[in-house]
Amino acid sequence: MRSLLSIFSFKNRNTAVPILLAVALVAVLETGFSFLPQNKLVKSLRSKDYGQDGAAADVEIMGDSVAAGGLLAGGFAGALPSGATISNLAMSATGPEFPYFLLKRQIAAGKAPKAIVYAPSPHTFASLRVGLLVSGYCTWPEAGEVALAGIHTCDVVYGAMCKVSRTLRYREELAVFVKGDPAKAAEKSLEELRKRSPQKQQFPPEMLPQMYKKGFAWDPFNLYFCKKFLSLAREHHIHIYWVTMPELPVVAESRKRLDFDKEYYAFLDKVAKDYGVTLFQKEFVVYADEEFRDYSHLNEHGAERYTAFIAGKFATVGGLTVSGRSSVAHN
Amino acid sequence: MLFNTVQFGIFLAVVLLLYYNLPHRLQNYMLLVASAFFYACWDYRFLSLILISTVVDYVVGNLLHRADDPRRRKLILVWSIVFNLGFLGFFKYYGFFAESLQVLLGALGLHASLGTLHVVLPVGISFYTFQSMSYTLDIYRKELEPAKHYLDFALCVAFFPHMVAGPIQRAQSLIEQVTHPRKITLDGITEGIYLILWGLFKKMFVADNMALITNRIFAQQHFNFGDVFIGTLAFAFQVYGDFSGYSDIARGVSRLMGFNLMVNFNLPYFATNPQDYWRRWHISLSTWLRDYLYRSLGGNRKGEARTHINLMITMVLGGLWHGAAWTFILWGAYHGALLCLHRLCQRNLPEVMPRTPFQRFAWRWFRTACMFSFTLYGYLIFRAQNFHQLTTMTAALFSVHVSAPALKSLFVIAFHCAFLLAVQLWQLQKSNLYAIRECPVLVQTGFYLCCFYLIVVFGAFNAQSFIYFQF
Repeated sequence: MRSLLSIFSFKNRNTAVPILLAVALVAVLETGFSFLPQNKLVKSLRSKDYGQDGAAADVEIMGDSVAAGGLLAGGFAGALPSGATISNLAMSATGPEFPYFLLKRQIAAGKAPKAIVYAPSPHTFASLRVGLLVSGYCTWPEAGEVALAGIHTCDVVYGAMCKVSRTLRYREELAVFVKGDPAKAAEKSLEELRKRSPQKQQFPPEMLPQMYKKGFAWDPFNLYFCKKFLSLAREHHIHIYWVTMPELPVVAESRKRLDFDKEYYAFLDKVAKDYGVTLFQKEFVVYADEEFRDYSHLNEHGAERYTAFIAGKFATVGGLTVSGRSSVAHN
Repeated sequence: MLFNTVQFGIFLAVVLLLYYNLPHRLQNYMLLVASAFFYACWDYRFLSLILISTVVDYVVGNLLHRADDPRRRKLILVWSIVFNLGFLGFFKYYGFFAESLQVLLGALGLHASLGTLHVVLPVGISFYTFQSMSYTLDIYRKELEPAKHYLDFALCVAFFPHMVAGPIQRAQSLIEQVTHPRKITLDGITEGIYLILWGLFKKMFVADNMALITNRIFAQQHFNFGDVFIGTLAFAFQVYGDFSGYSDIARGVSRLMGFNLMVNFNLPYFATNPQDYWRRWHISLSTWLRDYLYRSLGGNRKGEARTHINLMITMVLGGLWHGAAWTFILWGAYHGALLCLHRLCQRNLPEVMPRTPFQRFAWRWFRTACMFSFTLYGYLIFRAQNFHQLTTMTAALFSVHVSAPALKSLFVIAFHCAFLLAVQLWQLQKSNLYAIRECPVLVQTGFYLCCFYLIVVFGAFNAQSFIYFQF
């Protein structure tokens, strides 16, 4: 007891005890923090809890933030066969690995949709979110499946660490709290640039995000799960309608310069051929600046317009074939 | 494989597990294989370069040891230096000199096509070449016996913690440690953990966050005083945190295995004059240049004028060592000029003798502030992408205007550097880099917790490469 209390003595200058004490304190603090609520992002991911809370929709919209805000489920009502339901389960900050696990869970729960409108941003295939997937979305067995893929194993380890530690999960929020929101700062500089811009362009090329300055690329991890997602859908006779979302004129110009479109279309053709996906809207549609809220996402007006366009196409082409139940479409 | 990645953590855990369970000779072989794997993670093709370099220097070392005739010894040494610097020159400087010569000839109205080679710069070539050269140079000077086994020498050069970015360890000290069984002590392990954590803190919390400010400002087209000052200040902490962080981690990892690598940074921003600065900054390179270049040129033994010339040559070549660009040469010349100027002042001006403790305190910090300002301008030269940017930014220093974003960046710099500076002031006060380890238990615990949580919450996790790898 006396030696234990000696840590409070100013004469005790042991070098090993502080390290052990620090490790013990980290363990205690992290256990304490685990009673804190989940952070915003994880909450939003989990709120899309597999669509299992109610009856399964016949058609599901899947994809990332571009689809989450850009395709309004309500707008499809007229395009669906009578009584068929549709819901938007697209999740912000996600890639093709998320819909894979979402669909897998739905199939396991016997609540799989009959068709999927898949509308990812093409850039979703290049960026990595392994840590987020493992820490914020996967269950432990699912994390094991991610690890077994054998791609970016260290990111899986990092994700597992985040799963255990609330501090790691809250780091973004804490950084924003102390240093301010970088997104707001970027918005502010965009405002300033707009004021200076002689053409009064809403989205000037000077502020074009880096991702639009690169050619089409995919990370092996994303491609692996994209293929798994498409294979899973095919195995269960769930038809996938691929929809490419609209782009800004400034983005279209940059993509044209980089031959982005050509490479992306070639990728889509291969996917369609290999997995029987219907390329319902393959080409990029260019919408004016007024239809966007930032360089990637449609605003409410743009979303309504594009949803009407896609829904109209479904109605005229008669693409969506689901045996419907009598229900109301919901977003 | 960067030190600040999960990959390296797993790699180190495996290496340590094997290391602690093997006898001495097998430890060496395992370390050699691990070092080769570590380097191969960058680019396995360049492993052959290290192999060739070490074989040549090992053979040269033995030849030098056996030869008695001074002319023959000199010839062998010259051959070895030409070989080593030839390698370095081909991979690092050929393109630069060919291009510069073409521009020069073009300006004279002559057109010559020297051809440009698009050669990838092997990671850490400047470090392991200098390390390998110190072996032959020491044998030539009869200060070192050659290594008995090639593998021992190869491990000295390729030892993974210091292979790609130093410290440029002297062959003498490392061969001794490689050939004799290392002692693993509890104190060594705790020292290793302390150094690794402190190094990660400097890299992930300080350097990589400073990089965000530096990169943003140096990518601008127009500057004002605030931009230049903030950009350079951020770069000062970025480059220090990055490089000294790497050195600390390298030393920490080595300590976990019972090795002792030399201290590479000793609170350089508290230097009071240029000479003091170079005794504190990148010590392994500055002492290498002093011992093998400056002294070989005659050092300060051949009169005042030659001393100044020798200083300038040493610093210009030291600048060139950092990279094949005119800005690096200018940076070296700038520091050479500072050293010469300081020497002139020392010799010709009366020494200031502050009397009271306050005067001594004020005089000490005044000199530190002056030296830090000179260092900052040096960093502007070092970081500038070209001469045009350098002149534009230098001109902006005379426009007294500070924008609001610059002030915000100043807050970010203060936030990321406050803890570092507080610890360093304590180290300076105690004249001891391990002052924290000599504090009471609870203070040390607080230190570890602060470092850990600052890294976890505010550290940059997108593994930025270490700046000095490119050198």
